[in-house]
Amino acid sequence: MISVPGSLACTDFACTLNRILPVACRHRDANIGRAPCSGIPLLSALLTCALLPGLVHGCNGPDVRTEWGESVDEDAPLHEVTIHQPDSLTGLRASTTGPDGNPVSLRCATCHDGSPGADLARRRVEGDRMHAGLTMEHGELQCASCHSGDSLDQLHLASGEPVELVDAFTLCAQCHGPQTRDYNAGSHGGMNGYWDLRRGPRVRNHCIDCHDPHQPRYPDLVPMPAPRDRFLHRGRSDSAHGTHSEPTPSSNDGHSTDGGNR
Amino acid sequence: MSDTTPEEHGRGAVTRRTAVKAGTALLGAGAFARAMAPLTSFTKDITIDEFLQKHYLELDDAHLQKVLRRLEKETKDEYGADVQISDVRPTPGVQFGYALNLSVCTGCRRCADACHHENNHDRRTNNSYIRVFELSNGSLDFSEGSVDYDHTVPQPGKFYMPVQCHQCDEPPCVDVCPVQATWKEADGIVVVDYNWCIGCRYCEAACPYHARRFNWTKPEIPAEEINTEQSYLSNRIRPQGVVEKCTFCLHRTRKGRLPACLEACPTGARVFGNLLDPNSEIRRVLETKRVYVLKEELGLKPRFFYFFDE
Repeated sequence: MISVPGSLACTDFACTLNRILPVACRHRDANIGRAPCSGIPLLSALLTCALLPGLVHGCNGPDVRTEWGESVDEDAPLHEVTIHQPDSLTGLRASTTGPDGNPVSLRCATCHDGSPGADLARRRVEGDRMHAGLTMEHGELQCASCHSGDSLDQLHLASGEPVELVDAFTLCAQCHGPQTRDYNAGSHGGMNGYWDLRRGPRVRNHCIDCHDPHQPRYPDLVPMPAPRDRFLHRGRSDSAHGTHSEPTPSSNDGHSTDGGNR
Repeated sequence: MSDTTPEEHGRGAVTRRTAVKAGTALLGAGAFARAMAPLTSFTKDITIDEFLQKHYLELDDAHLQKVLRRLEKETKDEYGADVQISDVRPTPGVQFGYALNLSVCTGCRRCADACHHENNHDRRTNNSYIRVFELSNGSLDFSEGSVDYDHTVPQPGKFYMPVQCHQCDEPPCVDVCPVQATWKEADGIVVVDYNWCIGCRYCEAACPYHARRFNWTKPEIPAEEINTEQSYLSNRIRPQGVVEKCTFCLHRTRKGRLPACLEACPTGARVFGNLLDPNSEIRRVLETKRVYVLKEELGLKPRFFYFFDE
């Protein structure tokens, strides 16, 4: 597991000699223990040491840095894992802006207070001023599939059991089983904080942080800037165009993979 | 020679023998002076302390603290930033592993950007330890891939594969280093002593993942953008002429925190954790998902895995 060239890792005599050479002893696998060191003739070892004094690490002295640091108490209480609560859980962005210049966020129940008139059986709300931030592209679902008819701030499961907006997770989980399974196991959805809960807390994304429930497909993103490296453009500048001013990402000549420093 | 008598010798005439001796001595002195000439520029490029500094593994705590304070002062002098450079050792019982979900990665390069800032990379080249390849569906031909695509992602018919150091258990980069400036630490992370590296770039050539980078120039970073939480073996600002690499953000992860690239990932494609903990997220991925090891046939036993949802 460790290939530290030094006395900490290698204690036997042959190993101590070998550590002055680049092919010095390596412990292949901590579970197996120490693998036998390859034999290096004593003469070549001494020669190397004599010819390259101070150049090769290992001729100077023994390793003194510790292999391990402080351990963490295995039974330490675990810190909390909290789920982020995005603003979008509490309302809908309208096309009107408020005094601060930001779009007004309206709670659904401001209008949909249970009074008759709203068509909750529809699947499209586009072009509607009050629903400016809302596009409905979520399978065959209708408003009423998830929202309660009495108050749109109230959700309900397929069984009719009521669910609060902040607990929308439960609602999503009804249909998206594999994603819920992976989310619960920590392999779906972004997170921040500590991998080691013995040492600190973690904040996990809510489904709605990434997926708009009304249009859950993950949006297209503009990528962050590409590396600017002379090697990356080498092939392109050699090409018939003779310039590397216009990147053509899909037609690459292969030089992007070469070992140049990006 | 035949008409020169011993008496004439004694009167101080310069013989050919003396002339040759003197000439040779002069040549020798000249050659010596020329050979030693780089020493005169020591103060410009490298201090005596730095030149005499031992290998990281041979530094005792007192010396290491001196080195860290010196490096902090150098950063202050050269970059104008007050940084804290620490030394974080591996946590017992921890072996790091990393997995990346190719089914959900959209190639947005947020990870590469986070790495760029976290690890104090050169702003001019926009360097990062992560390259995100855009590849055609059904293909793993990197020569046909692109790393500098500039359009919204994901594109139809494409998938995205971020590649960074795989922290191999059989690291060829470590094997080829002629001065042992790079080695594998007890928790599985391959590190570089930037003050011991001679910049030969053998390791860069040996790495099949192209995970190592060479500092052709002194990194340019504005003082206010420098990440001040640094460590000796990871994200301190590297000198010119040395090789650097991904360290799984050991200054964060050895303290229990998640790596910067994982926190930046908006799709949650990245899973990081302790391979020795049977209940960890990374173990569950390796045990239950369809896992792919890039260039597995090379037998390097990487600590970095790709997986798929279906």
